[in-house]
Amino acid sequence: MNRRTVDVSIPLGPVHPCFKEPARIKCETRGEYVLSAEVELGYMKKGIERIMKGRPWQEVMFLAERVCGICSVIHNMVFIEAMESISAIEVPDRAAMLRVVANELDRMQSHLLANFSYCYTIEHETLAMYLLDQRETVMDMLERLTGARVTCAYIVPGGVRADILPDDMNFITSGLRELEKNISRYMRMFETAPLIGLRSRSIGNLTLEAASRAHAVGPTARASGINEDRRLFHPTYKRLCFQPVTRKEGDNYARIMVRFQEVMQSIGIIRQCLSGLPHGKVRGGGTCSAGAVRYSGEAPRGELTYEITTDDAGRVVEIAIQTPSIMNIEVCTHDLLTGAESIADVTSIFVSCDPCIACTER
Amino acid sequence: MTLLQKIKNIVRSRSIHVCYVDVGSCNGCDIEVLACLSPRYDIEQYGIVVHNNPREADILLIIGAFTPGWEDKLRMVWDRIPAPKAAVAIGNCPVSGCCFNRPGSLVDPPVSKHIPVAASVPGCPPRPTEILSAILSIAPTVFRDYEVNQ
Amino acid sequence: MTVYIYEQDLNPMKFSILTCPRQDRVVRLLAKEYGLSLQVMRKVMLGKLDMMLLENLPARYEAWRPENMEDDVLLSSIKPTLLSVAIPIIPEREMHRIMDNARQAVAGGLTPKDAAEKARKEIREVILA
Repeated sequence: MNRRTVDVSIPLGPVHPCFKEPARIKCETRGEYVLSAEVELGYMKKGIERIMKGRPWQEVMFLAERVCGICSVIHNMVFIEAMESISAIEVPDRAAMLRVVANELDRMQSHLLANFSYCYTIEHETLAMYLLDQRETVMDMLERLTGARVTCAYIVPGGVRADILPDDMNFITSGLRELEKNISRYMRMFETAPLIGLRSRSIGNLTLEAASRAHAVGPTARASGINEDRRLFHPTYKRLCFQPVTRKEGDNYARIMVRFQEVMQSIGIIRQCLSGLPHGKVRGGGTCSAGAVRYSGEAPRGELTYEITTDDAGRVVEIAIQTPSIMNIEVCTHDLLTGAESIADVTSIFVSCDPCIACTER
Repeated sequence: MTLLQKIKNIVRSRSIHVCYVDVGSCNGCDIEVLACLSPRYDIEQYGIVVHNNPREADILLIIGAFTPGWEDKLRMVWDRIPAPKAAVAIGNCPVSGCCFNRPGSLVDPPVSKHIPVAASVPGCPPRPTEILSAILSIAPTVFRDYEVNQ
Repeated sequence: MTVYIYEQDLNPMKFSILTCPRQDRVVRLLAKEYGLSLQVMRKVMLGKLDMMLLENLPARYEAWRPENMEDDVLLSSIKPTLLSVAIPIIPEREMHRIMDNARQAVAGGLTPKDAAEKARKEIREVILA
């Protein structure tokens, strides 16, 4: 029996000024040093997988979007592409490109929100507000393209819901130009600011071994040097010659910088899609049929996996969802928070991993 | 009306502190509340400050369809808020449970079963402007002449 | 007994996490692998793992790779890192002890298969202790 000295056990949350969503972190500390941390869940458990069982895909499609409100487009996309791969439905080229545009816009707004939360947590409110303002520009583009800000249900089997209008295309291209100018400026601000560096560099170091042991994914893993991105296996992204962003440092700073760089990369991808947008229809049609599949896609936070079994009528018989936040929060609590140098860093380390409790608990 | 009451009315109408609590939603509404903070909507020009601290809040924004984890905690948060106070339900979830209110799910809507809700903003999710106007319209009706009406 | 003001009983929520489809599959596999009943395995996991680890159970199980185990019968049948590193039910110290015992038994003339069987029995004892 090993004994340890614990000064005080500090609970953070569930209602906490720094967290967007309710989670409770219990930290056992000795002085400033964090001996162990545990995340307590159960505040967001709705049981979506239970509701989804036995329902037709038309209903599950909308439920899948509501697993997570921040990255709703990718949940929609992965579920629909899983259904398409079960039923062998072909997607027109134009629709495939528009899906990528919607997905990248969603990734941009999610990354900007994550970086906003981080800057807000380290009390750099100016930069945080700049980023949140840029996010509104992205939300406008998403709304022009899909018709809604959040939970837009843009992607349907065999294509997308609506074609892009020339007006909206111009709006998005001019918006991207503005965005590129601003984001590169804010990125430089973040990169060179000495005070931000003090609070971010070599804090919350995630080693490559710990990341791969807990199966960390997304920007959290890529900041530790793991070159892993589901977009590498996606047929449309393959055509666009996609290469993931990686960094070696593995600290808070690297995680935020990876997100900034991915926003810039997304701008490039959207430009590439819009300039080479093929003509043709956007809805090919098709019928959902029986089968089973395990399908993964790259959400803003990492690899998102759906395991679906359907019957002849297109009803979902069994479904299991593995969201990226599960792995990232787990590695964050057991490898980063445990052993953190100071209790004051706990919130910033936790937020730098971009935790999404709604995803985690479903 | 006393002078003191008049001063209280003026002060209260220009300083509304908001706390938001997510009791189990898809967090689409959470980020729409966060979007209100952005310079475009600029919630602070109306004197609304989002602190997310129940002890200094006047208005509690409730998001989500009430999950079992909140069974005793939501009441605790509500009791921490000093009077005068009001709860505003954001989105469909606290009103009806939205798409989560199905047999087999863990949620227990509506939230008005658990704490008194003064207003609700339906939508999945509502736009930031709607959230903003709801807070602005509920605040005067609850806080004006509060001591007189007691 | 210590009474906490803000703590609540987490077991119902942990159980509902553990019975999600993906988690359930892993628990059944592990229970079969080490010869324990499903109920006992669930109880052990509820006791020894926290909520985040329970959520991450399937991903950790998939990320666990059998490292150079193919040629070693002992390693491939006991799978020591699975229960000590990937899914931390047994302390690593205990696992090393069990492995050392098994290696000594093989050196002492026992067949690797029998030694592995003995080691599994020890693992069961440690889990249930």
